[in-house]
Amino acid sequence: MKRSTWILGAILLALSLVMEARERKEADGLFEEGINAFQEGNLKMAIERFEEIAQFSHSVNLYGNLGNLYHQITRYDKAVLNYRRALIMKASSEDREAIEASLQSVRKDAQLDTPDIESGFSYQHADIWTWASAAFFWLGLFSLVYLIRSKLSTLTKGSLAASWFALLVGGVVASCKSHQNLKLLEREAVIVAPANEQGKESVEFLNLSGKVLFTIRPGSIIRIDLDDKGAFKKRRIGEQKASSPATQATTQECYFAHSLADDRKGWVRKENLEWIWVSNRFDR
Amino acid sequence: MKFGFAEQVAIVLLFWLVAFMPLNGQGNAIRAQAVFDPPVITTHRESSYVITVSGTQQIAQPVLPKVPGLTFSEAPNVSQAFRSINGVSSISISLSYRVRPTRQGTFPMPAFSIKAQGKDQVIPTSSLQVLPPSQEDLRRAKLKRQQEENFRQALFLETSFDRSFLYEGETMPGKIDLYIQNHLPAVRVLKYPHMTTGTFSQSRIDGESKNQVQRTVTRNGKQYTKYSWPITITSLKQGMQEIQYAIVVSVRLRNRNPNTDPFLLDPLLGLGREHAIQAFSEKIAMEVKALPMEGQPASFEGAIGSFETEAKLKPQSVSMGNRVDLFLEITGTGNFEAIRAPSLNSSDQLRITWKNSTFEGDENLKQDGTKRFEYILYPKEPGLVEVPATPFTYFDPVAGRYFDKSIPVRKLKVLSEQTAANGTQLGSQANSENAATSNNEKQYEVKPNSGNWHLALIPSMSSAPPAFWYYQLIPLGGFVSMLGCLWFKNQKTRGNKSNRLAKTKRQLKQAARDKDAPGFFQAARQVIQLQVGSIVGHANPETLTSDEILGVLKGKELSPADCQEAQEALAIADTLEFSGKCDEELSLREWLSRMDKLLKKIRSLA
Repeated sequence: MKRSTWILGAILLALSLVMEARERKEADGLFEEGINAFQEGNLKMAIERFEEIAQFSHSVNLYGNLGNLYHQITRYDKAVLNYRRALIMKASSEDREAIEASLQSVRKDAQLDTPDIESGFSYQHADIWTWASAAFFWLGLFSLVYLIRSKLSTLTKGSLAASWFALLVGGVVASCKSHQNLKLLEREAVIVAPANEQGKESVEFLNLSGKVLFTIRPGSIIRIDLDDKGAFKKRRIGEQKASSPATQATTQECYFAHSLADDRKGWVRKENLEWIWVSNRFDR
Repeated sequence: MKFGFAEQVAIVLLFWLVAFMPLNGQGNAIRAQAVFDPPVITTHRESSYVITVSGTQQIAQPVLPKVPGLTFSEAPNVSQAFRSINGVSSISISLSYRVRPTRQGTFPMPAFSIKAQGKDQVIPTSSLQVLPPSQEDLRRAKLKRQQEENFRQALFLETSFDRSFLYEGETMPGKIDLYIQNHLPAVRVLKYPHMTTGTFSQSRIDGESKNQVQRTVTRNGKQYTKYSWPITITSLKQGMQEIQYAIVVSVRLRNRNPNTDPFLLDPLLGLGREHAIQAFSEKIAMEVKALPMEGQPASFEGAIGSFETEAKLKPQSVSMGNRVDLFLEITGTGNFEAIRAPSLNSSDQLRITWKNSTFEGDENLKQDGTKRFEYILYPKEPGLVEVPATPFTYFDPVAGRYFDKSIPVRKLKVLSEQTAANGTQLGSQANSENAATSNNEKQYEVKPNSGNWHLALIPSMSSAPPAFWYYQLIPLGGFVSMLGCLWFKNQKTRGNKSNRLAKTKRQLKQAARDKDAPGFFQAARQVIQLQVGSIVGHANPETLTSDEILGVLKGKELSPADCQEAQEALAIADTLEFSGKCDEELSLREWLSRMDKLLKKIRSLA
């Protein structure tokens, strides 16, 4: 490798470190401003500061604070969104429990029909399953060495080895399932009321002709369906106003989604969606 | 003491007289008579009707015949008599009835029978003559009326109420006025104004009750001292009722003299006697109506009057873990005694407990004032928490309809503990007394520190590659190390045995060259022991005996000739070891080649 390449790499690394440090410093400053505003009772300003930070930097406490503040001003949809974002980040078990409790509280306040089903194979448990499987694998392997050298009967040895293998397979399956759910998280979004419709108690799901199929409460979690190519199923939906000049379209970009609470399906406007986690896997 | 004959006869006669005289009396004929005493009276006087039965004292109380114009007392005065006239004894019994005429005229009492010693005795007729009142009677009557009038005017009660009707359960104010003429030597109140008729409960009146005293009040041209007690009455039963009050006052009178007015003069310096006099108020008719069922709200709990309600939250906002005091104030006029604390149920957001109730106003009357109910609210979660509505409805007896003064749902701002801890406005309001532990699940509070910043919002899965696989290197290394240790240990053990075997073989060859028979066979035995020991995995093969070695070889199906060879070698080795010499001429070179062959065969058994 040429010497100039090394120098260029070092310069880029140094630049990125400087940029990161600068962003962290800026984030710290805004966070402090937000906390000061909160302590003065100015919740709106505190939210603004925290939202500014969320544009370029992220932390559990940032999203937890946002969730809490939105809850206080009864923006339940935003509270759900931010608590969910806090939950997907690495948090201490104490914080995680507190955030989950707060999320339940918000759901109750928002009168969301049914809470999301948090199965034992949810993405949040992927870590547990994976590490448990790994630990079980190694433990069994060490035990196997001892088992081979022991004077136990062949039948006993065989039974123990089979049990270990079965449990190991179970752990691996659970881990895979959890990771599958993690992938599903990329397709999940929170229904929110647009900025100009704050306080709206329901968001519409449409059919292809733009008619309202049903409504759903802001704060509900939905999952976007995929098309045949594995991309998000989306299209523009709405009425074409022929009378308007140049047949101006009043269509809106919509995603085909289903509610996680009751599995009802329909087209939902993009402006009513807030992604919990924006990954690079899908084109939005 | 000795008695003479005459004295003895006198004692016996006296004894006989005392002991048997009643019998003699009883033995007399029974007679009955009745008279009016006096037989002539005026209409303002009384007479007595006396029935006397002689000859017995065993009579039944008679039933007097009714005589129009005369009133007989119910229970007669009974007197018994014993008489001895000229040595003849007699007994009698008298029943005396008081007789009061209602008009003038002559009133004959018809004959009637009375039971004496179980037999009917006829009471003869008698008559009473009632004359018109005399001048003396008229004077006395006038004096009595004057006394009564004086009584009435010297001490009287007046009661007054706002309305002549009230509703069942309603509390209505009123007033009791006691007028005592100024010259009346009243000593003390023996019994304060009390209700004699009517089914009402009323406020307390006693020596400690508030009252107003007005010294110079003129009524009917006379000077009075007026004592006024405000009262409230609460109806208990529907229907028309009469209310009357009475009071008992002790006054000091001069010695009894019916001809003088006891109130005209003050007894001298407290001389005389105390006399209790009772005064009554006029009866007041009061109608108690039932509350109308039409339009009665479900939340109506018996409040009657006119009220306003107000709820105050102190503080207006609170941090988690602290309490809020909710004061519900009901102000107005009505039956405060019957107003109970409106029920406020706890919710998922608030735990509500009723603390106490206080009344600002006259504690005795409890009719006008403010009743304050205090509740304690413990927020269960932060945010805008709803304080439930407080139901309160009352019936206005003047308007004749129900009014709803319920307090609607209110919002309580509940902030985090962190805010309070940082000295915010809420923190200043929190105090240690208010500190209360909430047993609800711990929720996320706003944190003053940002935590670790991340450049991207991605799920933090520590099990995601490559971190997870890096961590697996740790147990993998451990496992490999363990396998290595086991292999090394195995090799080491194996190496030791090999070395010992090689060394023993060298000793065997050296002994053959030196023609050292004992050394040769000792080495031969050791070689056999080591090889057999490795076959059976014996940890210490040097301890194997010849029999054990032969047993193993036979068990491993070594040929009998070889077994014989091994046995022979072991036997020579034993002989040389214990006796030091051997009878046989031994060719060690030959034995060396035989041992090589034998050891190869034993090694092939492994």
